[in-house]
Amino acid sequence: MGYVVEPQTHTQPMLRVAGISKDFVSGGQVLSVLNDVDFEAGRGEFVSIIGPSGCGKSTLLNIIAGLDDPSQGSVEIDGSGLHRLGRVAYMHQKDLLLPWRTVLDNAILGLEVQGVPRSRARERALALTERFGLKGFEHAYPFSLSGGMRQRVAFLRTILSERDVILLDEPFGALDALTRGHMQEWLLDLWSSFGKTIVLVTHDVDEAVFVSDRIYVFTARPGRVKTVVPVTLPRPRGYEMVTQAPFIALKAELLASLREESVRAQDAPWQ
Amino acid sequence: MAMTQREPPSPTPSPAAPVGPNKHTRVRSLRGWAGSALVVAAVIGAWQGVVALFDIPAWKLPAPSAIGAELVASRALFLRHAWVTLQEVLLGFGVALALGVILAGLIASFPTFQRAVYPFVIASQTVPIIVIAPLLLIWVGYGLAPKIIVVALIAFFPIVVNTVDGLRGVDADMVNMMRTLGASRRQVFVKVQIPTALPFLFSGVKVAITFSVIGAVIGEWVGASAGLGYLTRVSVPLFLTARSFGAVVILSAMGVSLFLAVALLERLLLPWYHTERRQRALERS
Repeated sequence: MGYVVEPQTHTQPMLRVAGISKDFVSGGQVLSVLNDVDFEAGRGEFVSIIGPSGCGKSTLLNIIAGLDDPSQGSVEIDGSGLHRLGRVAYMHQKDLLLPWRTVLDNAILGLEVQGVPRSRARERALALTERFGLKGFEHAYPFSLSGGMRQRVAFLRTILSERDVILLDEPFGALDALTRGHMQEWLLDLWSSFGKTIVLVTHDVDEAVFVSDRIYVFTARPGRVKTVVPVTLPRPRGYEMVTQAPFIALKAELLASLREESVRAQDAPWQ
Repeated sequence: MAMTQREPPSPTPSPAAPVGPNKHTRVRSLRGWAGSALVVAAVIGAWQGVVALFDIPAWKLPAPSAIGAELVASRALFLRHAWVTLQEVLLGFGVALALGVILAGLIASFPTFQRAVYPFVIASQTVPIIVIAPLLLIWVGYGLAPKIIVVALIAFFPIVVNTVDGLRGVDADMVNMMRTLGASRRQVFVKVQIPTALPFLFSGVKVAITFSVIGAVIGEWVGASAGLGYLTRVSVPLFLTARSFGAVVILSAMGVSLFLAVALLERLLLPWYHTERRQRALERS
């Protein structure tokens, strides 16, 4: 590979997934979606998961978030395995904004649910609208916003929920390439100032290399960790890196690994 | 990890001005109104012409002008009876709304309740109201009460069915999003399910309010001493046909006004819903 792997500085991982398997039963048939997955993210680390379609990435995020339970294995968040629901921020590919709420009131949803008075919650959201490119749109309804802006409102809602771990399920999948590039840079900037642990699920190899500290490559179904690739590109990262040799070498390695899996997935008879 | 603060990517969209109806749609809706006014005028004109041409007696089919004259001449009478009917409509509708919403909430929230009660709600609509109405006279007497019950029985159904659909039609991803924010079941219900159901509720209310007028007339038809339904019933045997028609005109004016009032209320209470719909319609055109 040619890069020096940085020693892990954290002692206890923020998020630890140990030996997780997940089977779904439908019509008497058992479909194994995840098979013995081990996964870790350190405090303040940016980790991505890539893999062929149907490799159980979203199922893994649902399990980490507490929306679903594993058939086997355990999830620990900051050393505790109990009550995951409400401890991890989870952002979906869809922005899931409530159409009857203004930008500001969508952003404060997490605080509101926690019982923070609306006026105080709004103040805190207002302080961040500029950072999120939403200044002047605080009282607009979601339908009047562009896709990128809507996604930033969803981000603001996620950040304001004040969790240490943020799960992102293809957050830029629905955006056009140019907007996606801007959003990735902007996300890195936010991450470096908020110091959260981020787990990003993506199909986009460029995106994974550009933002991550480490990349987990998953196999085709049933999803397992095929390999973990550390990304040693210096930070802060800018978009000019995308065309430079170290970036391209990493990308080639990941693409080769992914290609093997997608070929395997196509050859395998569908259970 | 110090870093220069980057500006958020803002594609500088136009300021979030409320999306008003543009000139195009306004012209189109004006044309629509002019069209329906023309049709109404044509029908009335033809009616007047036919009555004059064939010299149809007023007790058989009164001309529109004769109905108009009767409305003006007996306005005190009409007003008195209209007030009675309006009371029945509003009270019955109010009962239907309260019961309908509570029932819908319970049906959507508790599967057991749904299985136990929903079949009866549907069955209640298969019993002809005209069969129940006379029985109500025996059970609760002759006054306002049986009319209110008839109105409520007719009006609660569209409210229940629509509201149940609305409460159930919530995006599952949205519910999961709320759960990951740490929301309780009650919070999901109040903050997501109820707002999602409101446009559905309003659809049901629009149907219900028009049914309410019909319900009041049925109630009066079966047995009453006042109200516009009663007035049509007693006018026909006396060959006061113009009076009967006058009552019908007022009844439909009442139905249309109540419908428009609900539509206006919907617009005021759910501004986001209407602008969103209009926006989509504009994008399609």
